Amino acid sequence: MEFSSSKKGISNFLKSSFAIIGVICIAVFSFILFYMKDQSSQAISEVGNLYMSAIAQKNIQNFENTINLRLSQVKALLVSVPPDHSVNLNDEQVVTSLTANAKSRDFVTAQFCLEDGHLQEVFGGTIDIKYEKLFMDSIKDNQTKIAVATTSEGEKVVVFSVPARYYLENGLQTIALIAGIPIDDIKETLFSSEDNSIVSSFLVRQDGSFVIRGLENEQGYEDGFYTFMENQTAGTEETDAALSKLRWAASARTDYTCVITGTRDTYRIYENPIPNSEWVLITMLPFGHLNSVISNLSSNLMIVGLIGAAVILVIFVFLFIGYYRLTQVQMRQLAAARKEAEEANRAKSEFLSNMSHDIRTPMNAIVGMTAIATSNIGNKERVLDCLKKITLSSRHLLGLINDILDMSKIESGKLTLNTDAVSLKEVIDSVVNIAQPQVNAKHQSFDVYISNIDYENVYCDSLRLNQIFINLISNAIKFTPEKGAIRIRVYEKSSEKGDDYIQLHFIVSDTGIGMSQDFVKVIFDSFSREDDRRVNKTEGSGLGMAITKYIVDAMDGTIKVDSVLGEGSTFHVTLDLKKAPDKLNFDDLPNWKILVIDDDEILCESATENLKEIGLQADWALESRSALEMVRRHHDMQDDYDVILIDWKLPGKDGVKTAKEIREILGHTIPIILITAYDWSEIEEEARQAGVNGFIAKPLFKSTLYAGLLPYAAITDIQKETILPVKPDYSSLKGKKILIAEDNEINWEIASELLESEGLETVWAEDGKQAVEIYKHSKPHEYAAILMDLRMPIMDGYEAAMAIRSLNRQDANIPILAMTADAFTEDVQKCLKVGMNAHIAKPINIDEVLELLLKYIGTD
Amino acid sequence: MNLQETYAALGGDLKGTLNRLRKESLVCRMAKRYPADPSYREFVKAMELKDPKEAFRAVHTIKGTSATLGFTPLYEEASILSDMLREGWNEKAIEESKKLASVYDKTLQALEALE
Repeated sequence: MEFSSSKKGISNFLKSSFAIIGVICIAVFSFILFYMKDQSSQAISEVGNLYMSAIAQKNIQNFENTINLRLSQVKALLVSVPPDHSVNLNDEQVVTSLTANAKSRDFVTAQFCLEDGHLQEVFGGTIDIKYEKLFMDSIKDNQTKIAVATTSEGEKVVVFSVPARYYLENGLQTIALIAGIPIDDIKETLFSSEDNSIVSSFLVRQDGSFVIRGLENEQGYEDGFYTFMENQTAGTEETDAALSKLRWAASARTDYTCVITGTRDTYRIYENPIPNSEWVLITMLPFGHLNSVISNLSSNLMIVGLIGAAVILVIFVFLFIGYYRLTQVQMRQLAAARKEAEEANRAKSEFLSNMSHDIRTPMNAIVGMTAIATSNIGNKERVLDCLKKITLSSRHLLGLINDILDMSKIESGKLTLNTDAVSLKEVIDSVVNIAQPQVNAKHQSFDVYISNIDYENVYCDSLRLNQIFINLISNAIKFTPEKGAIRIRVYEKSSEKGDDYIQLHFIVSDTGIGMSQDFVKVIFDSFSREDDRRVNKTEGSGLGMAITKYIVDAMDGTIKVDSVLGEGSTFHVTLDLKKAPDKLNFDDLPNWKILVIDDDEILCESATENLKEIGLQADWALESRSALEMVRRHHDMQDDYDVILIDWKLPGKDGVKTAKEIREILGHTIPIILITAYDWSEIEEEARQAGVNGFIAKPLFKSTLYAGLLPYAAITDIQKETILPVKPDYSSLKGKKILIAEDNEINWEIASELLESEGLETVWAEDGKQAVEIYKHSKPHEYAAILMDLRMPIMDGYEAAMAIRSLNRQDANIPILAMTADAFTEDVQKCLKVGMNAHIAKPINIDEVLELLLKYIGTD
Repeated sequence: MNLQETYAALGGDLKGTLNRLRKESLVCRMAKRYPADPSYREFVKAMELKDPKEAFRAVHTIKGTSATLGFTPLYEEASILSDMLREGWNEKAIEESKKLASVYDKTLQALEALE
């Protein structure tokens, strides 16, 4: 809970910090934008001011230049007529020269101004000067002056007056020369540059009336500049003040500039007085264009800025989401790790409490049993019982402590592997030996299948390998109820690690109580044991599987579990182990044909497979009846098995009984070996009596089979009779007299020598007739039996037998055993029909003969 | 030649024979005596006289003796002939007896070399 709240806290912190950073981002951007906008509009209006004042200056300059040029032209006119001279205006020459000079300079009129203020025309007719009085006053003061006048033809002209003193012929004196040029010429020079510009310029008199103005087409200029401006503005105090200041500056003839906000536009206005006149030049510049440029600029700036801010915010959001997710993942991992740690801790403490209980139980038993033994010290049986129980408890305790020590070793990383060449056979044998008593005690069936083990020697830590196997097997035994089954399979496969390695598979399956799927997941964790009433009875530290898993991991192997609750479990270990040298060499065995009899098909298959790999032929049978059939068939084909391996525990007839029956068919010619996974000491005597020559312990490794079979190959056939210890006792036959009817001397000699070497006495009859004669003259019961060849000259075996049977003697029923190279059933039947007891097929086999003799006469 | 070499030369089964008769000395002795066995001569004579009964008896004896001593090729040939002659005279037996003769010669050759 604490954890989830801190998780919430972190996510809240992240969210709020994101919000704050977002707000700050927007604020900073807005500030930058507004500041930039302000700055840029200031900069632009400054630029505007500079630009406009430059235009105004230029205008004034232009105007002044024009005026000064014209004035100097007028002054130049005077040069042709030096002043202070008397000039006769009636003199055609003077007038013509003046007029020509003036006209060549674009003047349209020239007048002399007289002392009395009247104008004396030189050419161009009379003119009417506006505001004449002011003009005249200036002239009288010897000033250079300009003014506007109207010619007699109605043309508006600008007149320039320069002082000029001449004495006229009529005694009058001039004070100035006035020359005029059309106002349009001036306008042209003044405003020509304004045609396409936003600037408008006006020449204005002090009262506001226009002298010259641009924008002639515009309406509303009729009443003079100031009235026009008042109409243009909304009449606010500000504009009125500015306008009155402008008016004042104009009348004071000083430079002035101001900004006036009109209803349609805002204007910057420059006012400059024009020298030599009553006029001022007013330059008016509307802000409209500049403003639109500036506002375009700043709105562009704004958009770009906003886009920039948005891009940064979007990137920021992405980063934030990524980071947020990352933290979420980390949180979850942290939570999982924490949970795991808590669980491990809980398991550990649970384990401790279990363990102390587990340790206390055997400890209590030891203490208690010791006390009982002490108080019964005189009672030997009781003390022995106590000691036995103490031993059991101590062993159990030792096991627990070993497990705990192992685990702590593993957990502190101190477990190391001591790799050395190991014989898998030895390891598995020892494991099976350890498991045997436990399996027997619980009456469980226990099978070990070995197949495809090509390399029995590998490099491995044998102690740890042992531990893996023992842990798995003892677990299987522990959790399998009585009469259950435990099966172990061991085989090799080629390893992915390369040709130098083999992959060892070790599978333990049982029919035990199984595990729940939930438990299967944690079975390899330390200190886990299924919490179940069924299991609580079972002793153990709960560390076995963890240790096993750890060792398997340390060996780079895998371990898998497959379990069904109530049906059993299967553990499958695979280990990639390096091959050790000494591949088994099985060359010493002859090319034997072997019969394996075992009720377990898998075992039969793996055993025959192993035998074939050793280089032997092998057949198998699953039970005694079919096995006997096979033995009989091969015997009839004179193709007997060379060795027969029989499982001890066969269903129905067990291995010992089967061996006995095989002996009845084959005699003692071949070795019969019992294969068993159990301790055979109890049955050894009985088995040997029944004709079993030896024992091979399961599991059947190739080397096990090889070692088990080798003694029978190494002995020569001559030695066999002594080494094959299983030989019925023929001693009861000693001293018995046998009549042998055999026409062939060699056969006779062989038979007699063989029988005599067993202590029997033999008499030879060369044909049937002789045999009958000898028998006829013998004492009663002198002969114990007759061996009768069937094909003899003079009288054959059948006739001889019939003759003997028909003798009137009490021993006419003497056992007669037929001997013949024919094995036809008709022959055998014929033998029996004529009264012979049995039939022996040639070639003569001494064991068969002795056995039959034993059968018919041994019991006498 | 020793016993093993002799048996190898005549294609016999020494191992089986020793299994049955146990004693190497006995086998050795009997093998040495085998050339003196009259059965073959009796068989040849009976064949010349076209006496099926006697021929069968003789070849049957050869069959039994060779089986006991483990002279496998001889045993096999004698088996064939004894089957042929069991039910009376058979012309084919004359041809077959030539084969027996060659096997018998080979066997005898080997046995005579036995030391």
